[in-house]
Amino acid sequence: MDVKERLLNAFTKGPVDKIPWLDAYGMAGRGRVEREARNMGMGIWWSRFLYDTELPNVTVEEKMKDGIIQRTYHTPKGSVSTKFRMSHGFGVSAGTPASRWFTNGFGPPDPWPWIIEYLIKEPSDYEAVRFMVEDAVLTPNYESLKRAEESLGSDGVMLARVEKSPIQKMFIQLMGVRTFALHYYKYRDKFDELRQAIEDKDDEAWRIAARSPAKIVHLPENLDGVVISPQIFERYHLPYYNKYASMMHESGKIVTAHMDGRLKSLARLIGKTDIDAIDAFTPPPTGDLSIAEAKEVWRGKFALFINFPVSVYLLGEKETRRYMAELLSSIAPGYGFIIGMTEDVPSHLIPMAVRVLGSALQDAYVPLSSDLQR
Amino acid sequence: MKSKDQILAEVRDRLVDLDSEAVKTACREALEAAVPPLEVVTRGLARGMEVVGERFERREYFLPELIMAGEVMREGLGVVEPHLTGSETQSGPMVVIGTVRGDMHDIGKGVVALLLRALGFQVRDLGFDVPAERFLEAVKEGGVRILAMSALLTATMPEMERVVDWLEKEGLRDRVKVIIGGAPITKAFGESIGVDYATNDAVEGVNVCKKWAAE
Repeated sequence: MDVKERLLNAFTKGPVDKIPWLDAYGMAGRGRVEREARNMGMGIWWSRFLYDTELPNVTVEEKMKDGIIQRTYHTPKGSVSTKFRMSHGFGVSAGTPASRWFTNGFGPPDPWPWIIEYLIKEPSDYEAVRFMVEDAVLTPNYESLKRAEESLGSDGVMLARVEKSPIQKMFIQLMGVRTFALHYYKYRDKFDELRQAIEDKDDEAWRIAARSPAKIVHLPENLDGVVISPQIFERYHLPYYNKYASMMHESGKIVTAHMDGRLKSLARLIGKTDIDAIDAFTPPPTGDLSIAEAKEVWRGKFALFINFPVSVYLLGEKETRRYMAELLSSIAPGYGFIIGMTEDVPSHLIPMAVRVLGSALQDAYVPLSSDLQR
Repeated sequence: MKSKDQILAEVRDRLVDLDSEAVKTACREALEAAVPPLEVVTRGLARGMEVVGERFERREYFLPELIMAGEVMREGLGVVEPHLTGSETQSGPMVVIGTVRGDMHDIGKGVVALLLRALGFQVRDLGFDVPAERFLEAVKEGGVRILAMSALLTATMPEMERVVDWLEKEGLRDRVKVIIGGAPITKAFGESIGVDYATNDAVEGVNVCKKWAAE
């Protein structure tokens, strides 16, 4: 079984010979460490947008001072501006509301755009942002995905990327959590109108995804149950996920959603979604939902791509190996699981992380034993 | 006629309901009933924020509710503050707080700052991507009881150790309690770098600061 087949089967909860593992965002870079990891079976995951975006009736003005970039969007409904700066580590891109937020190739260790001032600051900003969303023209472009898939071969999996769901986009990319909270309570009408406009535009993106050759569609949510209450999730996220999971299923595709936060308070509701896989699932000590709890509440409904919590690496190689053994034991027999790195790893710890994950996973044949003395 | 306790409970409960208009009305009624303004703050508004914090800890309230409660408290304070005397506006112990260099995730740090302010702490928020030197300068300026640092990116956690080392080298370590927080923070990491407390829970961190303030 090659790496691609193993990963695809794991994402669809099919048969695998051993637990697949991934370096989702290229933390191992390229070179010796990465080569050794690949030799130990590590796979690659690449994602590509399936469309190009234009805002034909919006003009963009950019200024830079003291390393801070101010981008102003002029629309017939007024102007809005955002500020961002390039820095290391994972950040949030300052793209346009209905455009491609992430540029392939960016990400640690490359500098990444961090928003330091959001587009929506006042209720008066909604109209211009809504215009930008509605003005966006999405043109399908499947070539990038096809070329990447050819280049990747059997070394990993390709994902088609869509945007964050509207609520996630609003609080992470458009307004920040403080404005999100205040406007949710104080200006619900404007808030809901913008959310619906984003969903209407997303609908075009999902339809493009449905017609694409991609087998897996990636929803880059960054869901966290401390920010998103069960009430908000049930009202906004759940119907959105189910609507588009259903559309993808009709086209023979599966959906994986990036849920890297604390999920305990949302676990029951997540279990009601029709998505197929959860990626970047982060167990304690960083997350708050253990593998055992996830298994109990979801009963194998989702394939789980588990992020090995990076804070464990900081406790040294011995503790990392102990945690790894415990992790493998907890996912036994192991069907429908992937393990890997989906968050920033301090650069000096990457060789150790790869060594521990690789040595444990290259022989992690399924069915795994739940015996810790593996 | 309502008793003082009932009037203050009204202030507290309307804040817990996140109803800013009702809180302002309750604060005005409290003042009209000759309830001491400081008690309106401490036993009404601040107590309401404590209840909100408790609900947040029990995951009955979430970040939007916590932030909205902070806004409601601010509006209530706008009614009461003009009636406080000079000495009553003096705040409690000073906390310097910031997200360490290289990290721009400041949601958790903002929550802690919000709750500490509501409890009467003086909070000097240095923001995010704060270099070790700025933490050190803030402590050197004096009057700081607690230094609080946060990180979400594991890659930036070693910066916390740098700050602690610098405090030691400058002979400032004994002047302040040091607390660190953030989703990837573990007690073991905190012990390994020599801080006084480490937590990945905002409310737990605030409770520890309250305990230190009472010592």
